[in-house]
Amino acid sequence: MTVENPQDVIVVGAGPAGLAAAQSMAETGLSVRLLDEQAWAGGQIWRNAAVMTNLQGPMAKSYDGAVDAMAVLSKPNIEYAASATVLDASLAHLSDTSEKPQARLTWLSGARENRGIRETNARALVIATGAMERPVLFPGATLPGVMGVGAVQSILKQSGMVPTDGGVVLAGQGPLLLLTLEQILDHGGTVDAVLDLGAQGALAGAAPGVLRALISDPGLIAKGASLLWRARRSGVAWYRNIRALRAMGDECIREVAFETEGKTVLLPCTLLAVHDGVIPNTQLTRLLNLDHVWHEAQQAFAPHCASSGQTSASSVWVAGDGAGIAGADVARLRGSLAGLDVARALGSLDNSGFQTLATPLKRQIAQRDPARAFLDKLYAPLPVTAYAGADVQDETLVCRCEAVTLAQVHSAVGDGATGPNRVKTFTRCGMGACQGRMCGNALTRIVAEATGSAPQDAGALRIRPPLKPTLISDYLDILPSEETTP
Amino acid sequence: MTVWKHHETAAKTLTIVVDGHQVEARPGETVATVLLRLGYRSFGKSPVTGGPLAPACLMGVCFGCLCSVDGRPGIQACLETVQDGTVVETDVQVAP
Repeated sequence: MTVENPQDVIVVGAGPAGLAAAQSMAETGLSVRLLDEQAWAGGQIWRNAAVMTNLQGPMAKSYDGAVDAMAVLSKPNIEYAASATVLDASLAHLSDTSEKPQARLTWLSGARENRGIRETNARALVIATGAMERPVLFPGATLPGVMGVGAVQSILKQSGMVPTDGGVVLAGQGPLLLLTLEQILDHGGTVDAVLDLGAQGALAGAAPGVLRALISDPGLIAKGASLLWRARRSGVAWYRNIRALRAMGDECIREVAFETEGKTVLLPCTLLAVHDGVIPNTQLTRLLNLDHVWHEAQQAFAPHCASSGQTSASSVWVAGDGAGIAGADVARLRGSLAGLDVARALGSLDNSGFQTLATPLKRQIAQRDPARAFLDKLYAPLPVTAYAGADVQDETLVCRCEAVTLAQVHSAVGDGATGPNRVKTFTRCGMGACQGRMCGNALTRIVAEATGSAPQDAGALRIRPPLKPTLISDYLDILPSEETTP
Repeated sequence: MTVWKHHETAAKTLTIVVDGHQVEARPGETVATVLLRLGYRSFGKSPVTGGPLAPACLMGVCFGCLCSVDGRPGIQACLETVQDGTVVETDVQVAP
């Protein structure tokens, strides 16, 4: 294992928030170690930015600001490592916080030239690991060919491919679903149908916020409206008031079945892209045992943090969607703000400097709140068992890795499991390869509902290192191809 | 039957090996996107059920895209960028 020279700050995640945080800290003279597990910076929204920003296509707009943000990677006091997988993190609790390292990260450098485990110490840690798709439970949801809409976007951005030749169905709700529909059609792909799973009357419930939302961020609302119009105009079959959703097939999905308007519909389907919003990725913040708060409107945990991102641990900040879903623009602003706050805490930025720079950022963030609140209401998360009723509990998986059904989870609760970790012990839910990433959110919601407790009290799966499965050979610093590399 | 297609031609291509077959790929692609284009619906088998294991998130969260890359098993294909000569082995052989 290689122990690196200590840094002022480690930033985990090189998406919009992480890049912005790195920039604002580097500008005050702090040394920054920026890590990202992907082979390229940009996170999800700016995936493959080096290629995408050279294009004039319809997606180019979402890459606004990507080039400028990535220029930070070549700043002298920012050391960026791609293919860097964080395995473990720990915090010291020293009373003198000004100079001594407070955070230690153990991570795997997967870069082909210098693969190996590294350890880096720093005075502060900024976590900007973003978000993931909310799990949607229904029979057959884990069949090959069922993906998140984010996955379809990633494929388009990463390799320039669209799904085509029929059998493509989108199911769910939210701006990202509409965006994915538009992008598939814009790039020559085909979509047979959209299954709109949004609650009836959602717009009416969200209506009181519309006016404020429009005033605060007209661009966001206009974008949503034009997407909706484009979808209707494109001739894609549109279904609403959907019940009993089911993906059917053996080795992969072949059909999607559902009930609507009193009849059963069966559509040929070999790609079902699902979406019900995104939720913060809390693996690293949970590993560090930071306090988390349940957000009712977003039905997900987020690390508890002050407005400028400092968490319940004085040497850890969070920024971006990982601190609470608010979109890429706010992620950048929050990243900058967190970076400034870290700089102030570490003494490289004085109070008045902080106020001067932070005040406009806070104002811009606050300006976008009404639009976000409107979207949260309009696309309120589906009840966790909306498409996993009592009659299909036996066929609906909560944990895809260990094949644990909803029925088994309820059975465990009935046997006395009072929280997600007890359910995990009883059923193995959360013990598989993904380490609870895919089932965690649903598990908290299901257990809270089943035990009649608040999700805040039900809690979440305990996360332990390594954060991702690692080969023993990596721990032993054995390089299989050492002898054969010229 | 859904097929993944490039929406425009590539300036550059490279060659990787998938389950013994030489296939074309683009710089910047991941092993996962190449496999999807080749028609792989799943890349491996669940160690619990023996059933098909397939990618769902394409961003390193779901662990449904595990396969062997350059001799290392259990690699998340969606996080592995292809390079000339990358060798990929899945538990699911797809006819060329």
